[in-house]
Amino acid sequence: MAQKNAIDVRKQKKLSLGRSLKICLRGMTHRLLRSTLTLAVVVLAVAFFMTLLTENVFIASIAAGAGNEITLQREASVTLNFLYVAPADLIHSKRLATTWESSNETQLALYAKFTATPIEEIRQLAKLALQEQQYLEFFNSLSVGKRLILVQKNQGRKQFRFLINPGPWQEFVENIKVFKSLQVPGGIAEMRSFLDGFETYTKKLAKVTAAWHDSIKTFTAASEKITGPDQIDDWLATAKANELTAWLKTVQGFGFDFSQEKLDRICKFLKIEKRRAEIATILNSATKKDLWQKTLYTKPALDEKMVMLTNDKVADTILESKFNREDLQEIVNHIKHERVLAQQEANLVGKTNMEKGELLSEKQLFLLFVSFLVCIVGIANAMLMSITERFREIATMKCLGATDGFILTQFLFEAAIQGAVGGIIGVIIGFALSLLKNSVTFGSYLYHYFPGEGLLLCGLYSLAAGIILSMVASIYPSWAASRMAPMEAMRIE
Amino acid sequence: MAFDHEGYAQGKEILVRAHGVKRVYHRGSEEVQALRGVYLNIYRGEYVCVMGPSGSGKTTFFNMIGGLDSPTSGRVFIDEVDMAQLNAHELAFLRCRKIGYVFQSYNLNTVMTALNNVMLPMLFAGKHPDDARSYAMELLEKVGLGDRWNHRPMAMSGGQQQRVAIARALANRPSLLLCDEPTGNLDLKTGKEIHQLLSNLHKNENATIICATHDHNMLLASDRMVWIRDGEIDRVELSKDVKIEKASLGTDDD
Repeated sequence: MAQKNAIDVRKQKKLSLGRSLKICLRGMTHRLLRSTLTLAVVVLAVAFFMTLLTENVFIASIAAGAGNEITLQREASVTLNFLYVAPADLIHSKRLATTWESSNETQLALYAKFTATPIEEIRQLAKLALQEQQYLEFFNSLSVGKRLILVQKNQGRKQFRFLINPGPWQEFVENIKVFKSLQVPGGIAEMRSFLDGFETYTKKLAKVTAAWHDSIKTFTAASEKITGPDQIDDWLATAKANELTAWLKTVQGFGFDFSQEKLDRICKFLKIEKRRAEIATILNSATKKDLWQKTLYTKPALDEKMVMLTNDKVADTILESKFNREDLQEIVNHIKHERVLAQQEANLVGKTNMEKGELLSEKQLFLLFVSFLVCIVGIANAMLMSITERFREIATMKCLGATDGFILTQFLFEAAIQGAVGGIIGVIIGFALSLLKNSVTFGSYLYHYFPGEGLLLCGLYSLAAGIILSMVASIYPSWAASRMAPMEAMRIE
Repeated sequence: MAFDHEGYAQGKEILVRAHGVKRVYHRGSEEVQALRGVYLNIYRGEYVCVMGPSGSGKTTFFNMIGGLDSPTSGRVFIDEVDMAQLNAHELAFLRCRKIGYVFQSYNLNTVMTALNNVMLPMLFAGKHPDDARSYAMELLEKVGLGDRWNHRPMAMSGGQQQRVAIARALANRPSLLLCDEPTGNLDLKTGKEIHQLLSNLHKNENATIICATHDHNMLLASDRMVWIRDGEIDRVELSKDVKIEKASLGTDDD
């Protein structure tokens, strides 16, 4: 009697996912308007996430930008300081000794470069030079009587040459035993070995010194007008292009990592600084001061005055037309930029405590975790409410032949759409808030280093977070909806 | 004990067979006997009205024969298929294909247009959307709403909504149309229209209709009347044997 042959589900075409999603999509806009509460929670969460992310991206980008510029500006003086050493320094044992003592590796490397000697050899020489200095000090500290007995009338290196001979050395050893309070630095044996190698040491030192002097000659010849380290700035600031290129080649020939670009930047920087100093001198001169104070006395700082010069008609009279507007503008821009950089540096203090490549700090992650948890609970609650409201619709769908799976899919899909729509709104709001907040902190500098790509990524992350959040939160409500009995449809309110 | 009148069943095919259907609800520690053993045969092409006071188990009985709920004991057969042997998936399929539901409160999907509402069961049945659309239009025209297919339920009157619901119930050409007080929420005039529609379906297309109602117009149009009381079938009467006093059931001035 009871046969199942009339119904064979297996023969039945199953409702494909695509088609069931299409059914869900019908009237979605109407549904979205109704679920404003769920939407609002998603929007809030995503906006919060977006604000956090974008702020970090902004800060990171500005830190990188400002940091880079600050480094570039400082590089100029650092590089120049390094170069000063070359013409200023003359190699001799005392210098080598102090270099060795302070273990200044850069200096040793410089010696090696300028003398075309392996750095190992320079180290060896420096070590011996230190020893030599110690012995010299030892001899110089002796009283005249003791000196006469030990090294007779010899001075400086002659003392060592005198002691190398076996006769005087025997005498020296015996005499030093008599003066019991005297201790040769490092001991007698050490001194003997030093004396044995003394001739080779002095020869080598002489050779290296000669090489050094030759190099210095070539180096200074390339920048002939430089006679001392203080002048290198002036020369670089005023040098012509071809002179600079020749100099650059020489510098590079000595193995310095020094590019044309770097040189240009340094020159530009120096030029501006020089002109700035000139203007400062003019402004501070007795005759101009009166004129100045009459016109713009309210601004006390020199930099401020310079900034105002570009806008003021008296600039020409004050500066006696020595500077054209473009020059002035360049200097002013430079001053302004310097100030912005200083400001950004101050702003960033304590804000870049994140590791590189990290989007969120640990504290922010925790904050985010808690807020997402709250949001999930909020969305789940709102969804449950909407499901109790829609019990008749769900039950009717089941009466019409919807399976549990379809109801589950439908609600999850709805949640995903809600998440996406809420996410998009949230991303926009979050971005606007973040932009506003960071504009207040960083000013127009924000747009100077606008991290477009990073922000787009932030938006995508936030959107994904919104969708996932919404879907995760609606797993339980959707399941509850799918389990609803179809006979609920018969219930009358 | 199927309350069949002598000779009535002759030559008729049984569509729904309720065999000793009992249903017990647990409300807390209390046991509520909603149905105490119902025996009833409903034949193909029949128009049956089910009546009973509220709490009589009428709704439970509807749930049983509609495949919305399963009996505590006893069996329900539709088209000779035992509903107790069906799993959830098959039940969903049965509801989709074999039974059309018409509810008192219409239960249309409020966010969808009339057309989409009618299309829905056909899509569940795996019909191609284009075929579903054309047949849904046909059905809407049949219920007299061909020009209002793009309206949402909110923009329709109660009678129109109920007509959409009937069109939806007919979507998969069901063996059985189950109507739960279809005119209960409507005024007399629109109620009469719905009743006209149902009886036309019965007459012209030989549709099997089971209808819970208090509307005397419907009672008059039906073949049989089933009275349920206290979870049991009290009596079954042939409409032609019963003379219903119009005044006893409410007035219709037409």
